[in-house]
Amino acid sequence: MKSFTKVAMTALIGLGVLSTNVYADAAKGQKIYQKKLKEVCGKTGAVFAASHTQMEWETAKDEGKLVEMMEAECPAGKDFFESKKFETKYKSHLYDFVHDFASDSGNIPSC
Amino acid sequence: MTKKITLLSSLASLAVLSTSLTAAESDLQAQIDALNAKIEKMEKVNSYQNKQISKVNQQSANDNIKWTIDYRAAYDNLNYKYLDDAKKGDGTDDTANAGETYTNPALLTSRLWLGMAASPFEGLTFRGQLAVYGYWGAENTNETSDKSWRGSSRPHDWTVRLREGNFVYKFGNDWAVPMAASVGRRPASMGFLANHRDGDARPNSPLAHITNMEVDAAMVMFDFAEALLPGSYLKVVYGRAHDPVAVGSTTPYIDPELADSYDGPVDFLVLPMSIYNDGQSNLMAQYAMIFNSKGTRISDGKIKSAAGTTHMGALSYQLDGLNEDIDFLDSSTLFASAAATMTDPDSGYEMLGSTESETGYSFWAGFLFPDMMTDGGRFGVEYNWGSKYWTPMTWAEDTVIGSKIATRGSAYEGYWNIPIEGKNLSAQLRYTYIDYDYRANTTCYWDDPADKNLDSAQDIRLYVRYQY
Repeated sequence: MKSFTKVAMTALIGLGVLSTNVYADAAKGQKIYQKKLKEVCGKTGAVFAASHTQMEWETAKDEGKLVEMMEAECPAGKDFFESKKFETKYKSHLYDFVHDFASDSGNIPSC
Repeated sequence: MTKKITLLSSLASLAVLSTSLTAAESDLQAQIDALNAKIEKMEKVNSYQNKQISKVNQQSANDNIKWTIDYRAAYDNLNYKYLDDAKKGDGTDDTANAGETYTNPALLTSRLWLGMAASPFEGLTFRGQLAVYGYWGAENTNETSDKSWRGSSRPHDWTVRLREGNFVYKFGNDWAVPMAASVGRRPASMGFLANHRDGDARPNSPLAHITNMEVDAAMVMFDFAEALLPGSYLKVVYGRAHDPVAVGSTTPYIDPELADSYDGPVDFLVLPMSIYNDGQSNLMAQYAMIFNSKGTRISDGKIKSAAGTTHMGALSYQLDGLNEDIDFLDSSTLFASAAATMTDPDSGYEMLGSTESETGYSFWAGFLFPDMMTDGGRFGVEYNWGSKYWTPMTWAEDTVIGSKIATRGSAYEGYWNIPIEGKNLSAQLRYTYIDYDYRANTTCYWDDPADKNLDSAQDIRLYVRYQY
């Protein structure tokens, strides 16, 4: 049995090391919104995300107009949206969040 | 004369050219107009299609049940070591187990949660979850001890059970304190702070330090986020954990023994509250009161009697992101929680082996940090400590060797949560060691903590999990 445990652990560690797929995280995006934007924008993340459909968020992202669209929904967040940190660190997570909870996403925020 | 002819010829050519140019311009304009008309038409079609796609999205998701899948296959290596002078629950010597060590080298389990959600209109939602949690090679038989508040949260048979089924109705959005009401079955497990060790990004609302079980209850929520502090709310939950209905008797659903309160219904009032939550600092508290808690009737020694009242309280704090400028610390989480439980037996009854009111204390701390090898993978270390009379409501599984949160003694834990394919496919490697100072916390207040049984227990867990 010891050898089975060893094999399982080795396999898992191998999986972990090989797992390098970069992915955006909607939960992280939700936290970023709560931490950086909720007070500034004066609306909840659910309302912010539901201001557009999934296709509208997607199109804005593809056309490089995500910042523009987010600013239109939250003008007070201009400095944050146009910061270098937003571009490099927060944008993908926040996009994943707004896309997940867009008006036609069908996802239902928990109580 | 020749000059005149040349001039006339040139003028004629210009006239012809001008006519041709005018005709070409006119043709070009016609083509532009036609293209504009086409573009306009296409824009209209595009706009119509977008609306249709949104409608289809809504119809396929919003207007019907949206299903989710959470499947986990786990391997556990379990080990229990009994004390040399182990005692049974009644205080007599445990001659069969004293000094013995028991091991299960490979417990293999599968857990499937089928989640469903629907929202016919804004403000009204339904949530449900069907659960199957069985060990490989299990017999499909129900035990009498299979209580509803842990039935689908511990490995058992392969029966499909209802783990969640409730509706939430939000109202008063324009009020200073918006509200929500809910009735039904709630998976009050994987609550605040327990979500980290299970690799869940979002915790359920109860404080895991004193509540980890499935409950049937009604709830009213007051949202104080605008009126008081960021993220603040209060939930008032009232429910039932045990009903002594006599199914199969000549008086079904009526308990003839209720009059002497041998086995009365166990109800609870729980007040989970978020005091402050700005996305980085999160401070939560909870008070709970259990009516007719179980214990022992002194006159005839009957256990599981309705023996008294239990009070519980916890204060939990989480700091998510220790320093924004350093990526490692920004992705790290620190948490600490303090809790207490107090039993208050009625006259003629014992709870936790005592006729007096007894208070137990507990402390729980944890630190999670990036593994620096995978994108999103995190290591976590946790420590729990509980005193002699510490007895929280943690009946759902937090480890298969027993609740480490309910440990009377010390529990040490280390884990590695690994995202293999984002949030859809993940894995975990976890080690838990429990060092008991008092009796293992496995019953509802009728065991005496002084009757020590286990010396230690440990669990090595490896799982893979698919979520969509």
